[in-house]
Amino acid sequence: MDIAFPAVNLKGVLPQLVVTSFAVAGLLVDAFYRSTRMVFAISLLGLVLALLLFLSNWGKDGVYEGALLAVDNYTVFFNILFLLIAVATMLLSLHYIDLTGVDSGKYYPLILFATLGMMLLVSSMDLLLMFLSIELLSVSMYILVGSQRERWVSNEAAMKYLLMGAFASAFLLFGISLVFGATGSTSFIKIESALGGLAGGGPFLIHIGIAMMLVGLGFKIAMVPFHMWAPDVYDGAPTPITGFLSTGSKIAVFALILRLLMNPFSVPYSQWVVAFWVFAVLSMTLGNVAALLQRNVKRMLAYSSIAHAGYILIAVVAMDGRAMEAALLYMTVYAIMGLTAFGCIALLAKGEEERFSIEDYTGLAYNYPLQAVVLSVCLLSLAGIPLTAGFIGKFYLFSAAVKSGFIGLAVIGVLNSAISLYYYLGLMLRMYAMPTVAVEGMGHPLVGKLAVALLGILILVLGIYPSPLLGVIKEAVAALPAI
Amino acid sequence: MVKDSCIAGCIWLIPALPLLGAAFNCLLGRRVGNLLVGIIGCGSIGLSAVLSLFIFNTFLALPVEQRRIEVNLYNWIPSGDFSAPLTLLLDPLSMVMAAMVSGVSFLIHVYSTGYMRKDESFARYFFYLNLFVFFMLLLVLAGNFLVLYIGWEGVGLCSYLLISFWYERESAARAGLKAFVVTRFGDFFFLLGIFLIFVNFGTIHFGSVFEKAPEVLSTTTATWIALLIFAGAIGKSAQVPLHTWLPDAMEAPTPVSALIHAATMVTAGVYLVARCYTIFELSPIATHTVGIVGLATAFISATVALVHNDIKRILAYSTVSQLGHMFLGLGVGAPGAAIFHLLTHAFAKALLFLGAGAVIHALHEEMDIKRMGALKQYIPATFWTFTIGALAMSGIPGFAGFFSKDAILHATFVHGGVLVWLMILLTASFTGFYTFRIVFLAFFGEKRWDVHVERPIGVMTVPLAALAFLAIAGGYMGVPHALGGMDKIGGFLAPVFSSHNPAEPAEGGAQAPEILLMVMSAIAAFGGIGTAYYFYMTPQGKEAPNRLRQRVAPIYELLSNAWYFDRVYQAVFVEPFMKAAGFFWEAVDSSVIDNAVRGVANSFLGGGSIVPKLQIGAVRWYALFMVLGITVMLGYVFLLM
Amino acid sequence: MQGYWLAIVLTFLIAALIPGLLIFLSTILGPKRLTPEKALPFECGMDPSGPARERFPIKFYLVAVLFLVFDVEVVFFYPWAVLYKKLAIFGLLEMMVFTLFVGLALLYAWKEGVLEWR
Repeated sequence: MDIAFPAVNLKGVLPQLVVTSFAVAGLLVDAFYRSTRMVFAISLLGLVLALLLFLSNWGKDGVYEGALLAVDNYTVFFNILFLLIAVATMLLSLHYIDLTGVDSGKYYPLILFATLGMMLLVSSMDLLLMFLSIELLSVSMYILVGSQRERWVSNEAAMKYLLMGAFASAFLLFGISLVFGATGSTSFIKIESALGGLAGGGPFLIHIGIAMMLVGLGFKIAMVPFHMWAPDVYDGAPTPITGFLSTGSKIAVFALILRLLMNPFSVPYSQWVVAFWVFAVLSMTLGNVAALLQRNVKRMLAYSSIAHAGYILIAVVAMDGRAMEAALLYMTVYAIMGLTAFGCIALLAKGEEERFSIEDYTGLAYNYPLQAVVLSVCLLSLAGIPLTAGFIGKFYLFSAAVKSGFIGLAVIGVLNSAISLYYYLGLMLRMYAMPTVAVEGMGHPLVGKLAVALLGILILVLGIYPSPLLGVIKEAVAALPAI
Repeated sequence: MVKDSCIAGCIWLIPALPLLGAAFNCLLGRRVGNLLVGIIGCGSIGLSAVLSLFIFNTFLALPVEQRRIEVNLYNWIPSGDFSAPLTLLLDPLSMVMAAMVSGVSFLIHVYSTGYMRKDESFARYFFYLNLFVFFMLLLVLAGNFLVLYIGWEGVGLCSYLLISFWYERESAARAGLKAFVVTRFGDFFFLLGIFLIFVNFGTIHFGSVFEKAPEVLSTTTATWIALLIFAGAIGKSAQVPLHTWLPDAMEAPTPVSALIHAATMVTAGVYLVARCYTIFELSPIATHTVGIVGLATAFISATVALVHNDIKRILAYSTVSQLGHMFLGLGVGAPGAAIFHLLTHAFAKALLFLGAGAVIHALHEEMDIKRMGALKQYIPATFWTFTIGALAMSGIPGFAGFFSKDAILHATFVHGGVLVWLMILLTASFTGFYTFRIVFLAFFGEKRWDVHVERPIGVMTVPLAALAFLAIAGGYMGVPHALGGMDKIGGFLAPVFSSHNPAEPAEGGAQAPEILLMVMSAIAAFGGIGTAYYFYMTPQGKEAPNRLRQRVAPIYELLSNAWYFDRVYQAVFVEPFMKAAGFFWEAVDSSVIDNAVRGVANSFLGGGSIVPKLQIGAVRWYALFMVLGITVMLGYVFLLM
Repeated sequence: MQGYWLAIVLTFLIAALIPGLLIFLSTILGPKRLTPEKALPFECGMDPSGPARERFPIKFYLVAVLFLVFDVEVVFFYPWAVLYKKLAIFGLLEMMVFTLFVGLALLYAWKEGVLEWR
């Protein structure tokens, strides 16, 4: 028996190693010193270090033959995005977890572990590594969601997420095993070459496998009809974690789906366009319609997040170079918007209470002008009003759909944006046009305010001057095999 | 070339500085106190004005053929064959506009710090005002239709916000809404025009559009595009029949009226037509329409101004009338003269409005000229500057308005015919009458008020003096050839309207008619002023206005109701619309459409109430839902095979 | 090939035989004095009947989970041990890294007080 030793490329995985080491170090520091500040500092340092390493990796392509990980511009782009999301989440949590009784020593390292899961997920070139990173991501998330031990909604959310997540993971694993059975390999490259020779979109088994995998992955991106967990979990989780979950976790799985459809499953994909079309329409419509009458802002944004998954699915349907660029752009923009929206809500936490109910936002602009302005910019962007990042994202998404011939889908998307205006602007009006209800004593956390202000400015800057980001995305997409 | 790149490098600063000021006043205005708000507000515009004058100076040193600098700041949303670059264009036309806008804005900002010093929303005021200047500069410096349209809508928005500035007053809120709706009505057509341009040319870039226009456009298409653009201009520049919003807009604080509703925003329509002059030239119908609308507006508004008593409304109608003059100039093929008049009018009218503001301020918000009088001894500085403005406005020789109005009159005489010229001459005498009616009633005669006069403070009188200087000196940039001048402004602007030669410098013997025309217009103006003097300054003329009013009662009624435009609109559009609405509401709406529309809305909202009900919170139910999805998906796979 | 299977079958047989023999021997050799207590089903000294939803301390779970974690991790040592020579220095390094992390985990669990029975 011969054992082929994999070529070890430590430089390629150095950032991941850094994140791992700092997460472990953070846990140990917490165990030995019980110093939240130190844990925070160590975790932040780890993220920043990894970020710098990734920046130096930009432009150095290379999928290693027979390797588990790809290091190319596509993965580097997403890795940087995840690290930034994690940094933002940490900054937004700083004030929140002091107030709301979260066990902070484990909180920050867990964010690092979840980020590591996302990073490995987009880089994986093998179904097994993919499954492992999804589990790493999910398990960290289960704990983070339940990290407010004193609040029963948090516990309930974690429990539901765990149960449903295990259910979905089982399907994912089943799908993986079917694909393995059909192609004899778990490596993306080998699967593709195995499927490449087959006519008619591949054997029956592979389609069942894809269907099962889609259940597992669709669950993670909260795609209708696998979305049921999302409102409950988003609502119950600590608010910064809701932001983290709805952006980072979702984007990581989307990035993976795009890679899977481009690379190993490009042949059978042609049979799945209609299914994705239906999923896109269902997610957009159900998400927006359900958000219309929500009285709880967090739940409203949870449904809106389902709708946004639907918008991104438009790119999955269109699936050419232009659509890929649009998808990456939209995910970046969505990450900023999601973090901003949930960040603003997190900043309004007071003691153990939080401001979820829509009534609490009445006349918010008079007492909390900064939060209100940033939240409004974010809501306008979510609705896709020009001169915000959201408009740019939707513009590219819909034009990609039109250019690929999916005009009906683009029209449905535009109609959905129109529906969504109702609840986004409703909340905005409430903050500005109505007299304030005296809500006293919400915090004025400096770091958090600075963070949301920066995010809000970013929304506007990207809305007015998106070209640099577009250039970067073009390079990232160029790293993928041509369609 | 060094100069060239130096200019190109800093054009963007001209609009950017006011934007920075606006951002500062918006975010920190309420914290830092009024002094800093004023300094930032004025300072940002002031820097912008200095910069644009400096660029103007450098610009003049360039050879004529290089006086067209385009800066592509960046491309907003590049996507396949469509792109929306943010392009700024500096050519003689946008240069003079930018210099005028930033300069006049600066003076009015300084004046505002005095005028608004007791208002509690000081920071909000300066935020809007700075933002307005930003959009206005963006509008005039735009290098393509998209940027121009952004500026166009932006100034409209700021105008709305500033008209409704005192939003507690219902009339102010209503006037703001009216201005917004009426101008939006025009904007809609303008936008259609831009679409039509994009469809025909595949680009919205000024340079390429105007260069290719003669080849690409047939006369019919040119007519359509020109008329659609002109519809936008009609709305923005308050021309008949969309002029009714401007007098109502006088609800805004007076410096706002001076800036937005006299000097800058309302002239945007004139600028737009001048900018697109190449397209208008291709269509005689469009050009004639512009001329006719301008003539009608000039005449109608001047007559209405004769009988009003509200000082700001008189000035508003006068503004509308003068804008009509400019459009007439455009219509008779003298775009250079129209822009010249735009500039001199901006100085004079800003001066008059600011003077009126000082008067209103002095008498504690009194606007009725019947309740003024004898103010000359109380506020002499205001009196002198106001009078200079009035002289310039009436077109008295030696003042700015004379030269520019003469240029239009001459072009009208040459291209428009004697009848049109006579009408404008009559209008000129009306102008003299109503302007000096204000002067005589407000500053002379007996005192018809009893309040403590509040004298304007220094920051208010200095801008008045500066504008008064401009109202005199501004005319000397365009002394016509007939008077031995150089018509510098006409020559400077000529390359923009290259295909056309405005008001040919008359050779030799032809100078005589032009001088004759000037004398005639001067006589007309003096006639108007003389009549006003007779009516309001001499004892024997005191009864004349009343006698006249009784003798021509119907005409007086017509004028004092502003030719019944508002009434007619009320009767023709608003009321039938309401009645039709009522009818449709009862007969059609509540049965057919209502059910359909409400059905759609309700089905969404109903969906909104049903979907969450699926969310009962039980995990086993969620799992069931997932299994349902899986089953359907497997069914799909089996169907596939 | 057949001998291969035979060995497995024999293993099964022996595995069944030995406990069967022991149980058989104890029933015939041991004395039988039945008391009511002895007639009850035996369950680690606890009351064999009671409500179905019985609660017991979470500490048990912690220990169980900890056991599971370390047990599964030890399983990784097995293939390594079998192929120790072939994997050579690379395998040794890999295993050392792995052991380091397992050790750190143990350290963490220890410091967090999981090993104390409170």
